[in-house]
Amino acid sequence: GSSSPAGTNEAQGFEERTLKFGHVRPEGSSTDEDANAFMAAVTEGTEGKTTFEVYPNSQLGDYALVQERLGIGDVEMQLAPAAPNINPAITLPSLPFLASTWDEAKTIFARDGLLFNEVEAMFEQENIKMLAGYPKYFGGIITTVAPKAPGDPNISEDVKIRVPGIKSFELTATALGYQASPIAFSEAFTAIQTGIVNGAIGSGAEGYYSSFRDVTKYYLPVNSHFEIWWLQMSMDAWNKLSDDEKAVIEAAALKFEQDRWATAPEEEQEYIALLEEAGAVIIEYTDEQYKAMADKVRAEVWPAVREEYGAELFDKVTKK
Amino acid sequence: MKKFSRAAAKFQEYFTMILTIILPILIVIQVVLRYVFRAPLFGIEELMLFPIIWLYMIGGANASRTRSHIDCGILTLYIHEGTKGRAVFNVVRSLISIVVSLWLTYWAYWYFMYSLKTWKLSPLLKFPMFFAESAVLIGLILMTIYTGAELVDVFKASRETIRSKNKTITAVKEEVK
Amino acid sequence: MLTLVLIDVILLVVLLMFSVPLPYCFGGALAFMAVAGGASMRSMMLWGFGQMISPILLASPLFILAGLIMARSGVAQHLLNFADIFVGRVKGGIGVVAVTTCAIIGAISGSGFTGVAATGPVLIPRMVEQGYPRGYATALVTVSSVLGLLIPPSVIMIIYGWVTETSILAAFLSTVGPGLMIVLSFSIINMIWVRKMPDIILEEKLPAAEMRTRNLQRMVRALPGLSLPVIILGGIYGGVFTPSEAAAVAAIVSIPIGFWVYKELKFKTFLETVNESSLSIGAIMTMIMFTLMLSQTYVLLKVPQALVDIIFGITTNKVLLLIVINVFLFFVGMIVNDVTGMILIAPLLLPLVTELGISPVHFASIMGVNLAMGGVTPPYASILYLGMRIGNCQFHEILRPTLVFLLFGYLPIVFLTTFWPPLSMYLPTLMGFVK
Ligand code: NA
Ligand code: NA
Repeated sequence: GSSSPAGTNEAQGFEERTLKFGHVRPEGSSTDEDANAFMAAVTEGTEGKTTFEVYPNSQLGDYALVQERLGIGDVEMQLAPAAPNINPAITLPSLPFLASTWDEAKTIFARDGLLFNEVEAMFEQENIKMLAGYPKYFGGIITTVAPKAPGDPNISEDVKIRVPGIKSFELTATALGYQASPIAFSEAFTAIQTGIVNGAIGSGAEGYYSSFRDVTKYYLPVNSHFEIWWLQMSMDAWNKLSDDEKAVIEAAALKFEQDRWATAPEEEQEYIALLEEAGAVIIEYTDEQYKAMADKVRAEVWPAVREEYGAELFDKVTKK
Repeated sequence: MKKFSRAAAKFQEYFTMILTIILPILIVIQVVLRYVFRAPLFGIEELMLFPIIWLYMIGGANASRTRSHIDCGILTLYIHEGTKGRAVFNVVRSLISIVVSLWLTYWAYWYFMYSLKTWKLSPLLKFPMFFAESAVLIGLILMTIYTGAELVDVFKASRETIRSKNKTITAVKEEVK
Repeated sequence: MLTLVLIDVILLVVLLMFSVPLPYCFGGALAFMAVAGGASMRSMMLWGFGQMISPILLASPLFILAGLIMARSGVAQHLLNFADIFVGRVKGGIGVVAVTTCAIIGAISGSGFTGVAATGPVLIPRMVEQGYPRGYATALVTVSSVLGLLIPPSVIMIIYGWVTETSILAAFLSTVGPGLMIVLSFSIINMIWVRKMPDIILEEKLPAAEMRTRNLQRMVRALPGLSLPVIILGGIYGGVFTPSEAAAVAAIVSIPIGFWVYKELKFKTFLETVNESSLSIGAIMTMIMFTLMLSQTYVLLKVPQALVDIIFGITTNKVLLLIVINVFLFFVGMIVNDVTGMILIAPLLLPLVTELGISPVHFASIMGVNLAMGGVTPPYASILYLGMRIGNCQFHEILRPTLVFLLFGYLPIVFLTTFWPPLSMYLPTLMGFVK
């Protein structure tokens, strides 16, 4: 561990601290509860000395902005996806069809695996300590019109869907037979409602359920990408901690990550069921169809975005 | 000096006018591409953020130059133009503005240096974000300069008012326009 | 900490009273929170930049431009001439037209700025021409502008849906009833008030035959202009463009109509219009940038949380608590903008009010009517300040009529919304969003 620049703090023991912790989901959501469990563990482990101010719902700005605030040292912690502002390569984990099943994901994103360590190093370059991974869900597509040929990516759906302003998603939407349309997230709901676009890609069942369930007619769990978030801490704040405090936080982070891997697959199914309850038709795919989609995207999209993440890193990660 | 500042003012004016008209054109192009050709351009939204922030910040500077920022003068109803009280009032008002403006400019400078150091690229077009982020500092510097110029004018006019008790002086604000 | 915020708000009021330009009023209050409140400024400009480039805000400058171009191109005048066929001889008619137009614009845009930005440039001068006091005309258009947040779509209702996991469509529909009631109450107040205005000029009464010719002429002249609302409404509900894109379309379409159909736009006036727009945009947006940064310092200090703790310590009586919540939301609207208020307060209050037996959809509407009003209640009153700029109107002129409209036209509806659930719940229930 490194010591604070001033070098005044004791290496042992606990000090009174309040850390600002931001995340991107509503209060009371499972993400909020998981974050709170982590914080409670830290508070308990530090004999009540470390406390937190929680800012749910992106109250401190969108996660990309908060990631920069962490690097600057104005906010201490965040639980969110990695943002590409400073280094686009850090979003490599969300590369479409990198993992296809939960078992694959568990291997690819394993703690101290190749990708995990690369992400940790990239965060460190942004003056951020990455403490844990937080798997969310596999991505899917929502639409308001019945899919013509679900599972056959070679048949054009002739449907416009909203795509986040990220190249890999634009290309993936196209590869899967959709017409990609860039619409701001804040306008996406009304855009789907009025029919400017007839669907969206980029989120998963949980995300669609909380933001778009009113306008979702079909949910297509194509497993377009694996969404994993990261528990991040400002390196400035991390460096101020004593060794004892670091140990408490690292232990809590490890448990936080393990617990999540255990519950995430089940939660994904729960949200798909909720979407269905809200009136959406859930499309089901055979293994062959999953493979056809994955093969097409890997063949068409991967070469086109390889440079985006740095060719060397990209090859290392995709080679398995 | 006078010539230079007049040229700079004209430049800023045309600069913001061009941006004001570019924005809706870009948007309409995107609508047509999306609706008619079903092939919207990825990156137009991203491209737009550059004219947007420059329009806001230089537009703000233009408002400072023409002294047309909105204000809520309630006290000015009771402290009449041409009186000593008003002269002092005007100086205080301008002094507050310049102090706040300088403070904001300082933090905009901090942000400017941060932006230069991190040199972020926009996600799709890979344009340096610095060319958008620097608008905050440039805009605030201009606002500070114009606020400073106003302070000098106000100070001169107020000094006269305070000296010559009986003479009525027209409002500085109107004099400039 | 709350003392600190109180001092900050007082400081803001003092700066406003000293006629300090608005960006510096909010900048000064921000400086106080940074220096005395310890809110770190290092990432604040970065945060402000992020807010300014967000697409939510883009609609405001676009509608400012569209409103001015529509005004200068003759489009808006001919539309009003058309409306005069019906209300030209009615004392107070144009006031009702103003309120109704803002409600219609509300169906186009999701923000509270749009109504005044799009209609103010033409309606206010027109009303002044017809003998309405400038302050009154500006106030009426400005307070009506908040209908943009109550008639769907609405940015704050989308946010309410997200942060409370409530159906967004249900939230949209919940404020329609209160919105229409406000149209009604503002119109009634207008009709009563106008009776006391001594200088109102009505259209002269013409013989029937002449009247018919004139009306026909007006109808024909209005046709090209009428294409505009048709394009806009059709475009939005037909799925061609989003509400903020609609502003851009309105601006661009007005240009050829103004140049070649009405021939009121000349190259010189066009340039002047664009220049005027960019000045307004600069003045408004730099102000908004610092107001948002000020809001963020309150967020960092958890001010809303502290306030909520206090109000739920006051009483447990349901009726009293609802009144306290309304008063509280009113104050929230005075110190932060609508979107910030919604993100912060809705998740804090919802669990508490559901315990009182209030449905999330009903509460959406309570929050909506309260926070929408925040845009016109000083000191934090972005919509009011925009109105002043567009109506070329001083603060002291606009203040009294604004307060009258709020007190007698708006607040009663707020209370009605709070204590008479069917007003908000009828439509969402009818459409099947509430079981
Ligand atoms: Na609306
Ligand atoms: Na307010």
